[in-house]
Amino acid sequence: MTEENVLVFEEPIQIDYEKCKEPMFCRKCLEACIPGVFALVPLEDRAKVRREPRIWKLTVGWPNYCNECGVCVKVCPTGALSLKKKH
Amino acid sequence: MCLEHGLGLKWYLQPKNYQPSKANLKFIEEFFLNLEQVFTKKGKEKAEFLKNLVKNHRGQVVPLEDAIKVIKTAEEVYGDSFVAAAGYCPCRKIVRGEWLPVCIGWGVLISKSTEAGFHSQIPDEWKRYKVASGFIKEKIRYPISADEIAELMREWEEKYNLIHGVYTFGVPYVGSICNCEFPYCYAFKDRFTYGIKEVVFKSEYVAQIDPDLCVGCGKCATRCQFGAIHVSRKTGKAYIDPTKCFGCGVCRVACEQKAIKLVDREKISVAKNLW
Repeated sequence: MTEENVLVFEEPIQIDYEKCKEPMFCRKCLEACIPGVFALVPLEDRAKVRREPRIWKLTVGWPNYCNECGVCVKVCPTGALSLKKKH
Repeated sequence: MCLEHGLGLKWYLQPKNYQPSKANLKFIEEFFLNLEQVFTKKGKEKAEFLKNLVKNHRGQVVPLEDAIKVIKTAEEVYGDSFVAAAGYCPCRKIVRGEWLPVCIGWGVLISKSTEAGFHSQIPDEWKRYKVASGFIKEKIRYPISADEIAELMREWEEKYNLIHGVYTFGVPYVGSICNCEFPYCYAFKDRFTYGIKEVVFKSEYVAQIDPDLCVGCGKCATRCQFGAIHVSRKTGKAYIDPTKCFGCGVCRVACEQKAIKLVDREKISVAKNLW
């Protein structure tokens, strides 16, 4: 593993943030994804609020674990997810 | 074997490494204040961050019997002021949206993380969130005794196949035991993605199969999270790759023949330098 190729991953999934509004309450993709590719990111700073963050955003946290099975696209109730490559 | 902090005993069983004076309080506070921000980092930034993080926060996989010894040692060192809590696993929260109280911390870790607003109980406004069934009963798990923790860890290992890991907060202060599962655990993901083994070391043991007892049922292979076990069609026996084995010991739970035992990593020549 070289320093360079370790650090850059192509993100295989596209998230439409206009449609994905409350990922922490929905969590369908998080539950469906077996390798755990998605990661929720808080939009509140704990250092400021000193409690658990309540506003979260869905991201592709671990693109290197994705096998592009497309299960997240199928389970998403809002249609916010899509695979970048057509299979 | 850690030469600096573990002469004579394993480093995580040395009572001196549990002294609150060994903890890096400033690091603990910052760690919990930025807990979620930590997970948002990616790529080069993450690699740099990890290199910095492992100066204070390192982990090692431990089998159940050592995990129980760790929690008992912590109870002994802290004495009457021993307070432990099962906090919600931050990795599961972020990767699965589940709230699982499987990260056990004690002593200064509890006081500092509470100051940072890191709750060990679910606040009322979170009742909207789904709580993973089976893990959380109505019983509040804060605070809990060392014996209760030992019992819980045994239950988690059997039912949910969770691996135990001991983590430092300021090397060598032993501050917590996490019970987690690959691929939801950030420590393992970071180790495999960025190649920084200090994030979580392999355990001091390697699993070994007694070929005379093994019947090749393959139940152990379904438990292994590191792809170290393979049941050979040719011999009809399970084979554990010592170079891949993390020595967590969860495969033993599945073996009805009691054919798997843990041996010291140092005694296996191909695995002794693989941490």
